[in-house]
Amino acid sequence: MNMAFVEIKDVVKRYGTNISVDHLNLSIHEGEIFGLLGPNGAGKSTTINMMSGLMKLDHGSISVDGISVNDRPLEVKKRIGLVPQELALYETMPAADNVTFFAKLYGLRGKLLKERVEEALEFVGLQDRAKEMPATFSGGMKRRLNIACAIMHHPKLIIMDEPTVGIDPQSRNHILESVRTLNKMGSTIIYTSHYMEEVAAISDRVAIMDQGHVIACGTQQELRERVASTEKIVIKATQITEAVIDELELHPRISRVSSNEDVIELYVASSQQELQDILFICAKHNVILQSLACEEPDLESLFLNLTGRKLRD
Amino acid sequence: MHSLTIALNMVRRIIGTRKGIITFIILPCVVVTATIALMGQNSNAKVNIPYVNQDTGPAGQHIIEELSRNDNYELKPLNGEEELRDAILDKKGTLGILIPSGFSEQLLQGNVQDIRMYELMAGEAGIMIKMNMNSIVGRMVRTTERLSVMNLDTGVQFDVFSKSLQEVSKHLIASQKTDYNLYAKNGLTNVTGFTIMFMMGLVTSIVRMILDDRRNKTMARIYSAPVRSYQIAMGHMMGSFFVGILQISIILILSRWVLGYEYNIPFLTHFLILGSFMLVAMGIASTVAGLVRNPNNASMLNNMIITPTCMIGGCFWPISFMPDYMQKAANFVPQKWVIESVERIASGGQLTDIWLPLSILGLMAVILLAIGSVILRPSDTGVGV
Amino acid sequence: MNVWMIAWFELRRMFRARTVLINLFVLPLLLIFILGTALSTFFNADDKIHDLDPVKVAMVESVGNKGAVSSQLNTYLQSPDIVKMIIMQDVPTTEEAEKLLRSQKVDYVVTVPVDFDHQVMTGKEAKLELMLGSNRTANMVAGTVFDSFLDEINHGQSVAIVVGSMGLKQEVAVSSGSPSDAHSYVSVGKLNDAATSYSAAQYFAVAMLIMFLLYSGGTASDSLLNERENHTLYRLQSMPISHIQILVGKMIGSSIVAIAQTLVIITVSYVLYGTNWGQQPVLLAVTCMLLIFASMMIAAIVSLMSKSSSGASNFMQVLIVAMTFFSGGFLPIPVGFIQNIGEFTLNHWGMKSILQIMLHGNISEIISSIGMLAGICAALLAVTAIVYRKVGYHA
Repeated sequence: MNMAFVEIKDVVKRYGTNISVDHLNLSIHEGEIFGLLGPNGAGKSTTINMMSGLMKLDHGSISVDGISVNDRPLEVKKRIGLVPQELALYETMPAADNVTFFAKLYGLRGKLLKERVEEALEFVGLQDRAKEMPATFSGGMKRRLNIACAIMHHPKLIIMDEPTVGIDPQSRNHILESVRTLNKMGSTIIYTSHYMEEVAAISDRVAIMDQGHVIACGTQQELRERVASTEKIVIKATQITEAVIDELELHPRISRVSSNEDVIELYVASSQQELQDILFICAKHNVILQSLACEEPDLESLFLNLTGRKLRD
Repeated sequence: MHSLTIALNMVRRIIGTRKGIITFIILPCVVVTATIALMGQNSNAKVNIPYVNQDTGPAGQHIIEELSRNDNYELKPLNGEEELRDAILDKKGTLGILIPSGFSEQLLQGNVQDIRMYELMAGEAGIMIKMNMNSIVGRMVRTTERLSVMNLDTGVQFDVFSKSLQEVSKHLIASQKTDYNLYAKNGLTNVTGFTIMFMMGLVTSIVRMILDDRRNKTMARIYSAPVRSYQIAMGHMMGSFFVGILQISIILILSRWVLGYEYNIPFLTHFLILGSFMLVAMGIASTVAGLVRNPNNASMLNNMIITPTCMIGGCFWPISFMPDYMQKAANFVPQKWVIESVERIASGGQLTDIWLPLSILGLMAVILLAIGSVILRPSDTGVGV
Repeated sequence: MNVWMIAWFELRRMFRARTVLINLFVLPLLLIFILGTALSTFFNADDKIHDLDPVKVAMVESVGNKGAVSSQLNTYLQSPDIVKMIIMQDVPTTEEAEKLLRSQKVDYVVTVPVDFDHQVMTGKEAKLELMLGSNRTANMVAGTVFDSFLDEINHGQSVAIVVGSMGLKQEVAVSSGSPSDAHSYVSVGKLNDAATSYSAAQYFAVAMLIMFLLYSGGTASDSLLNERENHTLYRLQSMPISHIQILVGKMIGSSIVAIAQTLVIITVSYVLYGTNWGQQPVLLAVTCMLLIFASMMIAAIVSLMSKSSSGASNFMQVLIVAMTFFSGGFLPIPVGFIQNIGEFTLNHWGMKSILQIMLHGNISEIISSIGMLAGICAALLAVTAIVYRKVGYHA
């Protein structure tokens, strides 16, 4: 088992009377891609801010690569590359100048500086636009430049805060690929998002945050196993009545039922066992089935299961 | 009507909040009105003239007496050059005069010593007093010339000279001035100048808001609704205009009826003149906004335009004191026309007398607003230069 | 090191924007040009007020009154210099003349009383009746023209009377010289001991220099807030540099621009207008640096406490204009109350120091003014530190 690269212990952060981060505990291992999932307001950005030394902790400790953020923030910052949620670019300076400026602040100089800047721009596919102004870029290109400005110093930890908000699928895929590549090149990556599919696609381990603390953490497999119900059955039907829903809910091995006009979603431990019961109940209430599907539950349903709310509330 | 909707929305955004009312209505109007009051007092104030008369003879005394005849000058004797310089440097006097010792004797012998005038900053008072003193001394010189032709003894000459000066100070032959106060109040120009300078500044802030909209793309959002671009432009103009009119009204009401400053101009005419100027100011600000994308730079540029145009336009000194070519340049500056209109009316003119300046202001407004509205395209993001 | 990198980047960013170059360099020079030209006429003026529209004067004279004095008056009024200033027209009665005056068809009225010549020649009181019109400048010009004439006659007559009463022979006719002779008997009093001249127009050069230095504070304030609104401050704060380095770096960048601006203004005004900035370049430089420093401190305080760049920008603008106004930067204001307020402004002490340098005042006086300026800077620094500690420069 790897030493924890980032260790977050019992961290608390308050805004006035609101507790934004509530006794948070997390360990992130070196070399992994760690996904941080949670609805808006869960405390993800706050956690990231504290990790990167932008905000002070009210309680607890965070250490990166063995160095405490509280005690030696500058040392920690040298090891981090932050890709902020908001585009942080100087729109009136050429793209390359943006990267160069930030690289200098990380201590890069001379030939190495030039090389790294070129490398970073190439990595995000903007080497042809190096001399152009970000003001002329599309949203996706700006996001890519936003990333380039965080990686030229080969940081050990790259934190990406919602890096794919509002961009086209092509750019998004490009970014996800880049994340994998960066990871292969040796960086630990913390990736936050409320897009469950992305997090699911690239993360080694995932933590789900809600209301300031972690409600689940582990590999995706571990998470699925954590929940008693691992399967989801989706039934499309007509003549769904209150009665049929009530009876389904009463069934001991059906953990959750939710229904919409013509759809019933059921969470069960194993669909094989319960399918018969379910069909029987439906038939009893004269529900006319149109389609039935069994799905492996996703993080969304895991979240729903754990919190009773949807991720995208 | 879309323009009206946009206009009203703008007005609500500007003065709908408490902060907005303070920043755009209360604060500026109070500041301008207070300044008008202070400047009004200032123009009634006398020109302080400390002096040192080192001459023991009649000539020096005569100069001082003659200058004292002018009610606008407050002469005050001091004890020495050092004291005089200090007084001027500390701005306790507007200008200082030193009559050197032996002035009278030298004068009678045909050598005129220069009177020294100490001035820290150039102004109208300095010119007038210099002229005045030159005339006074000039006359004394001619008197001595007459006397020298008569070949009198030194003592007799001195006596005649002395007595002549005494006789002169009776001013038997002089003018009798009847003043029906037909002219505009002293200081009205400065007051008007300051008011319009301030108005231009306010317009700048409003246009800045429009620019921020352009940058925030809220303008583009409006444009995505079934609204034509000219309607957007009109809406913005109307909105700024409403706020501007409100500001003018409050300033006029406060200064006239609360502070009691006598403009000698009928309210509506004054309103009309200032309103026309406001349109021109809006035109300038929107043209600048159209040319310069970045809101910060646009405001800065606009502010930088305000000071020189106010100077050329005669807000601070009379245009007539400037060289010829600058007076011609002043014709292109709206401030000049406002001040001219104000002065004309305040000295008894009628509305018909100012048709020319008002038309020129109107023309400037139309041209500048037209350019401004074309350039203020909603689609530009305004992030660049 | 980081501070200088940030400062350099700031400079590069600022100079990319064309408008910044215009605002900070071209416009001040334009202003100084206007001031210099307008005020050079003020100061180098010969005694005539030239280039004015001639004043239309209505003269009311009874027909029979063509004595020696009246004809002299007419001769005087026809002389080439006077004709440029006054256009005469005869009007039969004072009432008619007054009507013309009120309807602004003439600017001034002069009535020669019936017994005018007689009164003059017999040494009695004689008054020319003047009526002021609706134009202040015209009133001044016309008043001067007629008063000069009358004073000249008055002088002559006084001499004649005295000479006569003393029983001496009188040789000369009523007046020989022309009252419009332009001879200057007034010279510039040197406000300080040294040899070089000080032109009162320089006062405004100083006032404007200071105003522009304050404007560069406005630029700094905009930049600080832009960084925040741009979210680049967020990124900068995640980097291995301290927050204070970011703030200081940006202010140094703006200060360098301000220094460049000062050099340009001083050099150009010297070369084009011979504005003499004194013989103490070191003290002048110190004063300017202190002014720039103070202006940056004000910018920092305003930016840290503002939520938006437009709010801060407006506030700085109002502050700069107000301070310039109260310190007498636009117009001389001798009203005591305003001057007292003025003493609290940055402009006042800056102007005092620089004026003393220009006037070659003694060193201890200059240093004491600079000392006051330094005191203000120290106070501003303290306030900035307190505000920074309390509010901070956060994304």
